[in-house]
Amino acid sequence: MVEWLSRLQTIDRRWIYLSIWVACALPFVVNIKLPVYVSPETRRLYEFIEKCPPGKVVMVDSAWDAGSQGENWGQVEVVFEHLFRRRIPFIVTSVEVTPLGPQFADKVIEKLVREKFPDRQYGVDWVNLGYTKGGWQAMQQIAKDIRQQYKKDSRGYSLDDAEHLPLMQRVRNIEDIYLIYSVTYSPMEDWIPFVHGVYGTPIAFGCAGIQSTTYYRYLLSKQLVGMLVGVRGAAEYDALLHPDIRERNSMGTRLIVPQAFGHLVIIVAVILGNIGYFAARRRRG
Amino acid sequence: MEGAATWQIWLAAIVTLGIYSYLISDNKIYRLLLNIMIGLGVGYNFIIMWKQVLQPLWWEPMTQGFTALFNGFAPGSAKALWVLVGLLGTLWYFQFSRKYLWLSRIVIGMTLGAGAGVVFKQQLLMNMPQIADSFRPLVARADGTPLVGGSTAPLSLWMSLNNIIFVGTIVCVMVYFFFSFEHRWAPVRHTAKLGRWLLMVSFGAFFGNTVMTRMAVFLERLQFLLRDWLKVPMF
Repeated sequence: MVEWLSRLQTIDRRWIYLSIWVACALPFVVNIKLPVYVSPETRRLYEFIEKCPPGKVVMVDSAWDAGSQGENWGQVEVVFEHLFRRRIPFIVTSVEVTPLGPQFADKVIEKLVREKFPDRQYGVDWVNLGYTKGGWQAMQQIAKDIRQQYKKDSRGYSLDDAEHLPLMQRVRNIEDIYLIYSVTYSPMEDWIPFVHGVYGTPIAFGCAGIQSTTYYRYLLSKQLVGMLVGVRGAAEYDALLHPDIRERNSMGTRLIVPQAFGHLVIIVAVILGNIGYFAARRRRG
Repeated sequence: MEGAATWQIWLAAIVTLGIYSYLISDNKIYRLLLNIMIGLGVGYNFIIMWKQVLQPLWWEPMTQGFTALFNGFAPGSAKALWVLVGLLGTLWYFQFSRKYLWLSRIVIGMTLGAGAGVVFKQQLLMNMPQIADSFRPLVARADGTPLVGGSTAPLSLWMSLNNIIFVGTIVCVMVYFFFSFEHRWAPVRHTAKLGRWLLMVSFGAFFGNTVMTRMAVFLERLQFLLRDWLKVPMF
């Protein structure tokens, strides 16, 4: 028996991959629902956006691409939906991290406009300023005078073009921005000292789960108003937007159950590996 | 990949499976795809960098400046000075020359000087609120304030316990990182040991979150393969 158990330590990793594949695929094809409990950091962001006064604009630093869309897609999708629903105008950009960010944001917005908000208009309800480089310098420039950092939007319209970009005619600097929501695998912490620290503008992050551990400290010190952590954060935000579980269909909600199943397989694998380890130690005496 | 043509979906699926073939073993298809991805990324970044950053923020103002300059110092001629920024930037490339390496040191020095100044500001604005937040009352009201003061919130055991754990963890971990003296005295030794355990707990949280992220990346691809490529009906 001990010898058999000790073999658990040497299971071929490819069997584990296959188990994860099957476990994760199952909830996609079988209707399984699990409850979602909303964490404080998600609720804080939701409530902060709910309190947005009229006339203010939200800036979304959507600096993610294919590598992290499993987590970041859902995080921007739910916030964009919330902004569209509340009719809060927003500006999309990607500072420093990836030039593909604005394109991916466009995909999410196009989907939302097509499926849920067909009356929302580019230039009025949102503007995509595209990619910009410069890290903290770019952030400071955006805060002081947005036109010094961006001359045109991603479609080639001048920021002073009142016909195509009426929204940008009332956005000059950081005073017009209610919140900066930075979504990427690992949001740039420079937003905190150079924008929140200097101008007091509220900042929120949407980050990969792996990075969240380093950002929780900013929530405690109130340097961040909220944070969406991985798929979980996106699913929680979707739950706040749609209390009725049947109405939820964001990326976060779709992935959270398969993720739970995948985690279950990993937990079982860790337990089996430990049983194998102790059995092998016992066999050696 | 909504709205994508069939050939695009097939191409994406083949590339995804080709990358995942590494899970079975390292192979030539995986390496080929990896190199293609890197090449595509570099090429795309270069174009975007020019079109959305260098052209509107540097090239266009500079050429406008020169046009004004050649029209008899018309207004806006000062923009021609942007050429100096470009010249300074090109000094970086002298790192490839042994003879003129010293030229690159000019911009390296400027970058280091500016960086040092900025880091000072950055660290101050980022970490001072952190330090201020670490001073917490061990007996606290529900809103986190101490018993003395203007707040009328009720005493909260939960908040107090939270603060005790928070402050205790900071102290223990800081003691663990005191390397200027040997941890011989029992209270210091035990506190440092507890600090090490608490660090292990945080590393465990890091690892758990790592698994969560990797799983999410995989799930997005799995969803694509099942829904968009294999057309499996999904919930």
